[in-house]
Amino acid sequence: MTNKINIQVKIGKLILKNPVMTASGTFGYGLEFEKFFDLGKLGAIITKGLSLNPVKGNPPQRIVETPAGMLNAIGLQNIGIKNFISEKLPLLKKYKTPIIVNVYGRKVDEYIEVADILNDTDVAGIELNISCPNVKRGGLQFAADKKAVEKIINRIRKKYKKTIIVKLSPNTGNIEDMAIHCERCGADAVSLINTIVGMAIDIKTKKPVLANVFGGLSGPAIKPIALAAVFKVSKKVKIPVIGVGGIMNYKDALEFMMAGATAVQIGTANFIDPLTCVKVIKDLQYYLKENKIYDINKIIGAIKLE
Amino acid sequence: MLNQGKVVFNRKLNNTIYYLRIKVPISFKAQPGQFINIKVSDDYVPLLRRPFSIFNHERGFIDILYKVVGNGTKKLSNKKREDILDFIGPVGNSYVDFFYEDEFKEKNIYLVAGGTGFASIHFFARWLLRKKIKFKLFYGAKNKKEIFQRFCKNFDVLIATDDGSCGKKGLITSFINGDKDTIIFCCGPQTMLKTIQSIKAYKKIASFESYMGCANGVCLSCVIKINKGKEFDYARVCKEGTVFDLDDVIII
Repeated sequence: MTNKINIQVKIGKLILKNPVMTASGTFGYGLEFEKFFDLGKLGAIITKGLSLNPVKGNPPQRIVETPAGMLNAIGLQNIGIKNFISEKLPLLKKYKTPIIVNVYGRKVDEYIEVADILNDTDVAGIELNISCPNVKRGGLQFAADKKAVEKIINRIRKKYKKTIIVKLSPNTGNIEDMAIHCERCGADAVSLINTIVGMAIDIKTKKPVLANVFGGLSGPAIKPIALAAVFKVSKKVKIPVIGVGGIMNYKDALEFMMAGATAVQIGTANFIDPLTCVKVIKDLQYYLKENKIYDINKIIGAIKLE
Repeated sequence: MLNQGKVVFNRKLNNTIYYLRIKVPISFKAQPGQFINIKVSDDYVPLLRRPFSIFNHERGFIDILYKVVGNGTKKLSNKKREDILDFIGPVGNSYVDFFYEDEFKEKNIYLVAGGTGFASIHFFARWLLRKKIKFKLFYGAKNKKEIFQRFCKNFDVLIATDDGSCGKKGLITSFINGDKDTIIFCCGPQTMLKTIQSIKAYKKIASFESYMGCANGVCLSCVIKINKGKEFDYARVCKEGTVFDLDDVIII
């Protein structure tokens, strides 16, 4: 007897063929990975953070490796939403994978303007980045500001018909409160966590290694923190939680799903092994088959607490 | 792009410098100035791959000349014959993309290598040699230990070291007299490249090194500043580079 295994999951109105997405900022605009694998295999592609106008980003040095992780301070360098729509999006259309645009604004109106522009495209959803640690204006400043978050989500929700995901930060305030707040405001899902603020110092020069002084820590080093956040938040909200932070393989992905995540995002691992996402999808299927679990949704929140 | 190769040898040339040969499929092709991004570890420390200029490449193998400076290069130095190395590459553009044979016919070709910048310059020197194009190599380093004369046998070379322990004493750039018929290809520390910017030449082409995350154009970590009128742009060393027209680059 061959039983078909279901690995589809649902995020808001969006059905994903599998729960594996790419984390913003680690997958460019998707096309850079065409040479490695068929992008159509992904659950969804989340783009590099896009703003209304192109952004140059921070001066170098922008990256430094730390134990089992890395700090980045790119500063949201991007080509701007209009260039993305005219240059990149048409090339992504041939893949039957939902494209989710990560949106970043310096002020509330900018988020709304970008969402308005995206309303007229084939983009399947937006992920609001209100938690980037590497930009002075926007980013983190919103992560703890409930009123600003409410304004952003409310005003986008009014016009924007597709899926709205809000990416949350572990850096400020209480992530559970903020997740509940996002749900109330009309978000379809929350993704957590964004990178954690960190820094490194060169003891020879006594200078910070990163030109921006601070950077966002990612990689396996932050996995336990992300996992705890997903576990706590998924008990408090009804909307799906998307787990992200240091996922390197299917076992990490399973931990996040057992903790309550409906889907996962893979980030830093894409830098090390560009095939990580497809390997995780394949290995998840293998795990389900081995364990005779015929629906991946049965894993979500399957953690046993005695 | 995703490749694997067996270690043929991983020789220690002195205290910190190693000479690694990787066996690759015959179909593998690389050009001088390109690099490969090697996975040096199977666990999470170090986490990221490490980029290395290609020192030499002929049918079926790649050579890397590297200096042990940290965790990543330390792990690489422990690789033994027959070990399998996982690498991405070749990555980046090449000096060759900037070499216009007809235009450069009557010009003097200078190659300038500083420290481990010698690796990619060496590969380019061999490319020129094979094409029977005349050039002069200027090769500078801190001291005798960091100069590898054994790899310069067939080159017209001028060597300089900071302490005078090999060749002339002083910075290599102080021995270069450029003019309107000089074409410089260089790789080395940014201070050296900055000095070369002020040397008179018909054209100056440089390969840059940078701290990298992905070497796939997506993480935007490895950027350098490029002139754009009164403004500037960031260019990725891994994608738009590693080789740039040196006059376009803003070195701080």
